[in-house]
Amino acid sequence: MPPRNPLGFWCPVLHAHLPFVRHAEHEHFLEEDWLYEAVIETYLPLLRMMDHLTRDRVRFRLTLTLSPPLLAMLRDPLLMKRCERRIESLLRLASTEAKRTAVHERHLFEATLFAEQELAALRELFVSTYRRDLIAGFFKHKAEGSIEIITCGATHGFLPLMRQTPEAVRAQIQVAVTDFRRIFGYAPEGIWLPECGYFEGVEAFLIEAGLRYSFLESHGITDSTPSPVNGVMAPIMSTGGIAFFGRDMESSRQVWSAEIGYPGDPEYREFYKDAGWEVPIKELLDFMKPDEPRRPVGLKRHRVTGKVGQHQKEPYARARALSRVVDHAAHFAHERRLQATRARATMTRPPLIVSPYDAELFGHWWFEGPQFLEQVFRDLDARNDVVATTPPAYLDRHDECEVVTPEMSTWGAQGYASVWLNEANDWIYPHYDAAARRMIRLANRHRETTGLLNRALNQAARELLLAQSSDWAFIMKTGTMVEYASRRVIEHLRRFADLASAIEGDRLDERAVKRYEKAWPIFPAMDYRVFTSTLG
Amino acid sequence: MPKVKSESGTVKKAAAKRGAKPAAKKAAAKRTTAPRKTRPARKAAPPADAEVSEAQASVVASKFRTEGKPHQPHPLPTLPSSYGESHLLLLVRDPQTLFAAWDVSPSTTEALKSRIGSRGYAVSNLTLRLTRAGGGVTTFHLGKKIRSRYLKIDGGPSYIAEIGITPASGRFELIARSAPCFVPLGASAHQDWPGTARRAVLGYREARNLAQRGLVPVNPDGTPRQRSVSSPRKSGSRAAVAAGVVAPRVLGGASDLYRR
Repeated sequence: MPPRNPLGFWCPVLHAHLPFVRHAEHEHFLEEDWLYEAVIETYLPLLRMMDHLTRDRVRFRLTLTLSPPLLAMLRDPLLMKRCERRIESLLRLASTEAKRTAVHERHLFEATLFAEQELAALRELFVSTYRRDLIAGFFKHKAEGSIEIITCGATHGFLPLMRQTPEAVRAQIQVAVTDFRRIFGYAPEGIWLPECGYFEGVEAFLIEAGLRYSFLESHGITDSTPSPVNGVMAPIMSTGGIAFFGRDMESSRQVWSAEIGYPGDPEYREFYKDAGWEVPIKELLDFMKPDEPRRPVGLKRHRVTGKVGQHQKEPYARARALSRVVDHAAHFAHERRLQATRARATMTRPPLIVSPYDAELFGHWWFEGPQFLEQVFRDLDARNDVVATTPPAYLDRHDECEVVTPEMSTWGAQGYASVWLNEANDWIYPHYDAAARRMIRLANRHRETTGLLNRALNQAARELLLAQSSDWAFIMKTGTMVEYASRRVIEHLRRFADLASAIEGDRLDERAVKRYEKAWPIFPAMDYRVFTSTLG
Repeated sequence: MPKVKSESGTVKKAAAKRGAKPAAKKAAAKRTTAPRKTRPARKAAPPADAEVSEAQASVVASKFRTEGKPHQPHPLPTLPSSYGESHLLLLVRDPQTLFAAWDVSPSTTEALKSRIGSRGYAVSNLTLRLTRAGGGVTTFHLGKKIRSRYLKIDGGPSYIAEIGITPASGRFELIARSAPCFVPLGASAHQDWPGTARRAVLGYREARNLAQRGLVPVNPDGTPRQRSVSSPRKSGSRAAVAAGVVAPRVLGGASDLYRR
């Protein structure tokens, strides 16, 4: 039982999201690996962490965003079947490598053997324990009261840059909430605004969708008018009527940064050094054709080691890494106690430390991340001074919030929109804007529809939403996979335009509508009327 | 780089290219009216922790790694360079920068030509006027082929842009006007807030109940919100919703709960 008057509260928030990447038409599609890597390296290990804590009766509380595209992919039988195939391919590779390194590269044998055992355990979890249904796994912990599942934008559209077309903002939010309710059977109370992107006025759409709380980047809170007395250490009530929780930068820095944070420890597993670059090509035929360029496959057996070249990385030693996990978790918990003690001195109630992270940071980027989280929860539960919580649980105890007007803010570099609006990606916005205005006109003109026209309008809305994913602009900015991101934006907008033209010209072709529906099976409950103008 | 197909069928670089050199375009722009300052410019230290945001970008980028992807043999498809309607989009990038992108329909062009003559149209400049709430207009003269540009601004709180042409007569001929654009004020946002002003608190459950009844809570100073006003600072937001009246619990001045 948590104490009645603890030193403080800690509210970890994991934002799990990937863009909708499903290419059924190809047996192997490289971008689908984003999903498989996240399942194998993050979502399964996080579920295992929750299972361990529950088994050991350790009290933990976690807020988890499951974005609508991620939910759609995790529910997709084809993708989950392919994910299982991926785990088996990796397990085969690890087994082959274990045999090979036992003879030829002894120094890598133990690390390879660990990888093989880990993959075997994850396959067991995925296939036997969760039966390829990770959503049910997460929901079990929600039902037990340990985690709070919240929603996000329908396709993670960056809302501050949609502000000029309020119907587009509303569609991102309403479609997400409808989808969440369809999948989980209840309405979400909280939302993670995509990219933590807030603008004044977004509350109207959140309230309309039944949402009551969300999160802000720290300067979104501290730059509010008036600047809240408790800073980010207590939720605020925006003048728009939504409770907002502000990000604590101190706890962010310790976990996010590989340079100054824990993930860069020399004992932890190295992200970039991968068997895909190194092992004989004949062992990689499940992953790539012999004539294709090599690429990472997800089998990693080295540790960070230090600031040395990739060829100087040393083999991964699991026991040593886990020992660092215990140290780092203890340090993190200790720092939160110190932070809470400092804040408590000027506050009349226990401070709240909100730590949002990309879920994929834990496991995918920082391999030992799920063990770290597990250890932090164990530490906090044992000491019972700083108490893990969720936003609704905190608000249950401390209902009153200071009323302020927050500022536009995001959690991207510079704190505003420059990651999603710059020379690398600004070409998309006039097209987004034109398509959104056209969709609004279509929705206004066709208030009551049935049959093919209804399907075409719904598919047009889906294509527009899929084009709006903030991931495409992010990828263009970072230069990781620009061609794919550009192609996705262009192709969705072209399909949208095809459908819109066919609707406007009254020349709908059922085969084309069906083809588009089949290509992007997302939001089955889509109702294009969400784009109808009702705001003045 | 994505390409777009122009109306005439020639393939051009996309808008990304057009907007690629804001600094150079800035030099070409001519400021004809100095903006009047309504509040001091915010000398911004980036609000986000640079180390964290850099680390964060690396982590998120790691989700999208696809080294070794075979080159796509198919060229990128194209999008139209114009949607056939005159429109001006104005977006906020950060407290110092706006982004404007516009489209001029053929019918607008023809109408302008008939009004000022083809020759007059040919020698006219494309003109972007940026008006700051409370006064101050900045005018940019641009080439007719330019379709977007970044605009440096000097504080908020809101702007409206107009695109048009300026013929030899000097009279601005409007083509399209943007929706109002609200600029974050950053740390200076709350500097005008009097230290002794009242501060309001509101219970989450009460706010939830109000929201269910379609009511918006209160202003930060505890005064009831007025119908159709989105905020005391930025009235006129399209997102403003009908506001209700509620008697808030108001804590006063330096003796309020938070200041103890």
